[in-house]
Amino acid sequence: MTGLLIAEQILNGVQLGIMLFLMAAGLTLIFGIMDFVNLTHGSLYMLGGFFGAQSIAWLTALTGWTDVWPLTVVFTLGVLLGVLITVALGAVLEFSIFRRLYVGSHLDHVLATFGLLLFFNEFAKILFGSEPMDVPKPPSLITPIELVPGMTYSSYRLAITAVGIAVAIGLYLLISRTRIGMLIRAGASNREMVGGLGMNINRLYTLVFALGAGLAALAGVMTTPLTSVQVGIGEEIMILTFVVIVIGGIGSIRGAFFASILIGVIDTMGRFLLPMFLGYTAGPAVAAMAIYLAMACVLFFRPSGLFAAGRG
Amino acid sequence: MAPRSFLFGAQKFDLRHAIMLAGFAVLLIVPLFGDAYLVRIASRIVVLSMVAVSLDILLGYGGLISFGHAMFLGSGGYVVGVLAFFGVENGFVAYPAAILLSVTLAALVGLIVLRTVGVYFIMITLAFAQMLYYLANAIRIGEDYGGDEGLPLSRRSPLFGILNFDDPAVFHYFALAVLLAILFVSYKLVHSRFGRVIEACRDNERRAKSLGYDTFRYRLVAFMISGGIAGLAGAMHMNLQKFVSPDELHWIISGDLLIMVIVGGANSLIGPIIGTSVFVLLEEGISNYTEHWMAIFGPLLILVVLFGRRGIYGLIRPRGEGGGEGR
Amino acid sequence: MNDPVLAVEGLTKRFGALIANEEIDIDVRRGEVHAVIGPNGAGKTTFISQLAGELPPDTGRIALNGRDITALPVHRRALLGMARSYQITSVIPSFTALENVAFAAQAVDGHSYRFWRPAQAAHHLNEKALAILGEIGIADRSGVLAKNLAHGEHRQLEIAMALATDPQLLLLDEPTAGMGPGATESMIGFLDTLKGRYSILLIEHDMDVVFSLADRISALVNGRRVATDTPDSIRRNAEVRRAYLGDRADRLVLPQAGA
Repeated sequence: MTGLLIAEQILNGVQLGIMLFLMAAGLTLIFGIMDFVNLTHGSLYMLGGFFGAQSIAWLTALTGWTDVWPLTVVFTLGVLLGVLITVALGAVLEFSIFRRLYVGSHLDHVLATFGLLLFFNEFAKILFGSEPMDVPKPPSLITPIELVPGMTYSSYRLAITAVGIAVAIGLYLLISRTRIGMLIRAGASNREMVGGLGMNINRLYTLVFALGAGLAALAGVMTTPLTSVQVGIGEEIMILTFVVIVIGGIGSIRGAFFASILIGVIDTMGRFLLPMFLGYTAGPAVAAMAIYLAMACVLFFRPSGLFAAGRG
Repeated sequence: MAPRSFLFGAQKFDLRHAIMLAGFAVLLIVPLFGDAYLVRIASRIVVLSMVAVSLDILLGYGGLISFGHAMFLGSGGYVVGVLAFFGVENGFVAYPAAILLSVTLAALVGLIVLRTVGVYFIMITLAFAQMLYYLANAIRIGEDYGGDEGLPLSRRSPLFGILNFDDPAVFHYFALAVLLAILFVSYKLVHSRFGRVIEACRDNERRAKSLGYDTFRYRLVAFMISGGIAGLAGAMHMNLQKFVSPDELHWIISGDLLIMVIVGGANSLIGPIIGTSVFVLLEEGISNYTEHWMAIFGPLLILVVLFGRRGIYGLIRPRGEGGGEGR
Repeated sequence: MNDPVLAVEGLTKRFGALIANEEIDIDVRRGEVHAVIGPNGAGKTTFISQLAGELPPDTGRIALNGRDITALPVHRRALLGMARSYQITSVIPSFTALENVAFAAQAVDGHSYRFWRPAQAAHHLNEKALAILGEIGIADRSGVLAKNLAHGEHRQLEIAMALATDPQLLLLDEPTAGMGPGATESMIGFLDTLKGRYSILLIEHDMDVVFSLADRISALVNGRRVATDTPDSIRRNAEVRRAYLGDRADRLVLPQAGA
């Protein structure tokens, strides 16, 4: 009984980890390649969620479809539409504002992106209201499936975990097998080198940024049926993402992957197990701190993370 | 090189001095109008200025971009609240305890965050403040207190007994006196030998090390001093609001504090106060017209970064004066 | 008598498969100028970084005045009397020239956990700084912010800061890098006045500088020390000549005696 519960929590942890990875993969590249402190990555997650939720609602109303598979198609299209809008927004942001900031100091980055984050929060409030926005799961993924005899698990969570893993593999292939990927890797460990390789550096920056925006939006939309989307949701996941990046090492996709899973599992298991052992007063308090304590431990011994760029 | 006077970069009286004196005069006479709302705003400016000054010691002088300074605003406030909950109200206990605990917190956090630099430092200070935010949300004392409900303060920590802090004006003057004391101490600090080491670490840590300075320890001490001042400010803030909640620790507050320092002008002691005043007045001003004041304020910040890098104080400070920019 | 100030034994540093320094033994005797030369990529910068403590060696031992300092951090080595100048100017840009040197002097004037009295009021530090700036010839520039100094003045300030820490051993990393002929000439003149007063380990590309100052010269080639000898013998050393010939033809001409 407890064994099954723990197994379920571990799966939930992995699912959270995969979502964190989608956030962290883009952000760690932005930090690593542009040396740019970006506080708006969470906003893109939130906006992705809103755009996706709105698209799904809009497409559902437009088509009027009610059957299982057509609605699943509508859901998928809505997710893609939400991601595409966010990618476009990310590219425009990079092009119009961030590009002017790379030359500035980290302080400039913090100030400008903090201002942008405040703006996006209000923008979302004006556009979508301050109430949480729900999206129903696609009907094909409502019924839990039996993984092993006696253990059922949310098919939707499994599906988004699978999508996340597929994207991670795709990202791995992109980074390790293509020319663009080679430039990205070069940029993450040595920025001056990219210019030397004859690549238009501005185009690479826009591309990395749009890619990051898309991944963040994908995580945002896919999570919406589980948690609903509301203003402020992006900041919480952004800070978790910072923890992931710090543990994994700035600029390292591999580090981001392992750290994401680690943090996802620690966070989920902490919230599940610690109250059982420490009681219902101290338990939640320690659970809330668990990932930060993990981060502190890692940093104490490895101040630049487990997989600092250039070392692996 | 001309000796520097207290509060100002140079001794010649100029526009900055006039603005400073005018601002100080306003803070001094506000209670005379008898408008409780105005006094409240003025006191908020005074108390938040203390935090901004403490942050600037790290940011402008030390070059350390701490994105978690709200943690000390919270730690100072919670010490006062928890002590009062257990019946200890005396300000001579509460304020020193708030400072002591905040210095200890700064030492623990500093031991880890100061091992890192640059983007790491920004993210890690943010993460630690967030950890304390969740901690404050999770811990309850008694049935109805703590957690997300926060802690109330039934009466402001008394000092001497003769000062009636229930009168907002009296508390305002007390806060103003504390701010001046903090400014004086900070002024001495940044111009001392210690201050010179901290500034050198900002400009060129590698060189400071190769000259024989244990830069990590000097920075740790600076972090502790800054945390202690901010903790005192947190205790004042709690006394002003008569309430503390996890909101004080929220990372948005840390961001606001950074804005106050940078917009006002880092690497000066007056800049953060100007920045705090502008921030509080804008907040009160714009939010009277629209609830979406952040939608106006956010883009304003971007414009400040793109077009006015030196901060407000930098605009009225003669060119070429003052130290390097924090990074 | 004649214990070396600096004794290095078997110093080895690898970066992956690349061996940057291999089993280097070098000593610096009290009062001598010991120059380390070598073609680009010979491992000179790796070597000096290990001496200063910025790079941990893989194996080997470094002793300063007979004391093993291999495991000590940078700042502890500095306080034990090892001062360093950087190849790429490394000063405090927002301090004046005087403040830079006074800051260096402050490092050896007890601890700096002094929070109250203004640093400027430490007259003994200012006087010491001014004297050193005078000696090196930029006293008239003492009030100028370091970031506004000219390149040559930066190089001089660099050395002045090192001297202000009362060092026993000076590690000078290409003190004339990027200087014009005239400035180089006067820097050589100044460094010459330091001879005998300080023990100096000099890393230098410019052979004129090396041969006018060095008492002994060690040559590094491909991370190994191939020779240590007097300037005259080094000039005739076949292996050294071959290394320079093979690596950089433009370094072919080693200055002849009396150059």
